[in-house]
Amino acid sequence: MKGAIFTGFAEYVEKEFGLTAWLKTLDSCELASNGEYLSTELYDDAEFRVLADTLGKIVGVDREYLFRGFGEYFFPVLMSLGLTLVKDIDNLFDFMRAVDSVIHIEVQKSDPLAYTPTLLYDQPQDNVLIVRYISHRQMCHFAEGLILGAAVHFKQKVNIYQTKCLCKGDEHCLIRVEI
Amino acid sequence: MPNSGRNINIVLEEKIALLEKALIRERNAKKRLEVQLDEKAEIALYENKEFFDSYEKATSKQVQLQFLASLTQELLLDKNIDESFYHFAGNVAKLLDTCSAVVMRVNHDTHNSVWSLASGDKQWQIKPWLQGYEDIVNPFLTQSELCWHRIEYKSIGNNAIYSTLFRNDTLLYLVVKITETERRLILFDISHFCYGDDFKQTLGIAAQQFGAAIKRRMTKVELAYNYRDLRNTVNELRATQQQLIHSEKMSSLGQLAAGVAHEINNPIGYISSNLNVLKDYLKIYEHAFSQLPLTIVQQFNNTKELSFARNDVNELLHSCIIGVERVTDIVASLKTFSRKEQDDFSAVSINDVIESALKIVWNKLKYDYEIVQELSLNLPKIQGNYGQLQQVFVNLFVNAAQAMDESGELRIDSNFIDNAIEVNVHDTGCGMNESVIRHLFEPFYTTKDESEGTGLGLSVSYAIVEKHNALISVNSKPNQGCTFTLKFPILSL
Repeated sequence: MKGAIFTGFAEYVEKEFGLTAWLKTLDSCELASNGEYLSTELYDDAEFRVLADTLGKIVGVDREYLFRGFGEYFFPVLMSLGLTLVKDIDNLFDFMRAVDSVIHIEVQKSDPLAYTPTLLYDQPQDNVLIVRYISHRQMCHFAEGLILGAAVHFKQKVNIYQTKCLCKGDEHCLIRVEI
Repeated sequence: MPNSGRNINIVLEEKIALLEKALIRERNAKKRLEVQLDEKAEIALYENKEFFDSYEKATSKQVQLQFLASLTQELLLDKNIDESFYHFAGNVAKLLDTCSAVVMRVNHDTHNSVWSLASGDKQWQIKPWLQGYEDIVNPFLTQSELCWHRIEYKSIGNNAIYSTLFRNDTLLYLVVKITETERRLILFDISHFCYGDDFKQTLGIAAQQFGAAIKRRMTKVELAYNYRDLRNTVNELRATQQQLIHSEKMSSLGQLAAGVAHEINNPIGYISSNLNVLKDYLKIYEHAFSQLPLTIVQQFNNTKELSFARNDVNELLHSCIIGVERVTDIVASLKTFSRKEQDDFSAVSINDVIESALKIVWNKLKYDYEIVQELSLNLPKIQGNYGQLQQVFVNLFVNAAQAMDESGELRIDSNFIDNAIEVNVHDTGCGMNESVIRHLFEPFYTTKDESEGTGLGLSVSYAIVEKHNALISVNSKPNQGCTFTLKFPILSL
């Protein structure tokens, strides 16, 4: 997983739960990277789950809540990076359609052959966009958070729910977004 | 450690604040470094991006091409319409995460049909067409053909009927035109339609290819039907041509017969009249002769010859009168054969005509032949001349009897077929060869002894039938009996 996610997560935890919560989390985990993350590097996916679960125990929240909150927090960060593919977007659905490419490029910068999640789309109605999220990382709730963050950014009211979820044993996640 | 003494004086809070500031500085420095690294990585990526993009595109295109090639190969095989649908829908179902599929045939002229393929199955099942299916499919049929349409369950309605075929929330469907009255729907029971643009494009191309293949197949079918119709038309034209040639020949013969009849009619008229006058004159002579005294008669030189002549003259005259009567009959028949003008027609029951004709020949047939009548009841009447039609059937029945020698079956049936009354007169007699059939309706053509027939019976019958706007045909082979078929139109003449 891209280091930017780790560094972004660190900032989110520091802001939401305090620096000490993050330092305590790092201290409680045995990590191959020793918690020394560079946003440009790639790290083992398992480290992120360990960090999230450990933090969850320390602050008393579940992984789903953490990931969704992190996604909401991370959206403005993503926009602030001035990424070519998203900087001119002015609505939620266009942003969602661009996310797959953004992830693709950001990961490829570190390793052109690295594994990337797949996001596929269907728009059955004008106000509905369904996203199929396929990834062994099971970060669908982070994706939900990103969408919620984007909705706030683009000032659009949104209703999100998953009709299928990898975390519940389905083969993919189907995130239905209604505006 | 020269500075250690000064540090001791810094209070803990101030120390923490300083450390936090140092952390922020370090973090900012790290971020700047990361940005630089990121920029370099981006430059490096874009140097090779074209290669990676091409590689990904090529991999994706290869999968699409494989699918389309396999589909095309199968479509080129000579499968029937149903098999083509099974194959296409089955393959697309596999692509769509092995979902279940349904094919519906909706036909305005005949009954509708449903076939379904359960998820993962290879065998299609026929399902009953339920009453509510129209409500589901009718809105689909108004959509453009050969384009994929996806619809969500909520907007379909009629949940109970829907759930007899589908389990998921979303349907992907394709409308394929078969004929002007028949459409087929291919429906896929899917949980989502979240696929990449390339995948959707491939599905679109596959639908177009399939549509083109079905159109080709239907064109082939249509061509086959057209070819069959053309063959039938050619056969009908040939038959009509033969009929025309035959009619023309019969018309020429009719004109000839009319000329002959006219020429013979006058001399026969005065011969017949004179013979009758001569007969009267002979009576006068005989009466006068019988009053002569016997002594005078005996004085004649040729008494014997005179006596023989007196006895023979009446017989000679009688046979002359018979002969002239026969010639008169023949002339009358020739007139019937050649006459073109309309006779008095009225509504006639063809069954009545047949039965009355049978009564006339009954004595001739009843002992030697089995007679089977299969006359349909309640046949409509035709416009015709009762007596002439009776003459036709008497002629056919007599001919049949003569063809059967000493025993056999005469079967007569009448039916209402294609707005006409069809009568078949069938015998189990000696039959005829092609050559005889060709000349059968010509005047004076006969296969009988001279003493048995004049060869005018069937030609006169032909003329009568033609005057009724009817058709007469014969079907026969040597030793296999003979069937005369007459077709009378029921339209008023």
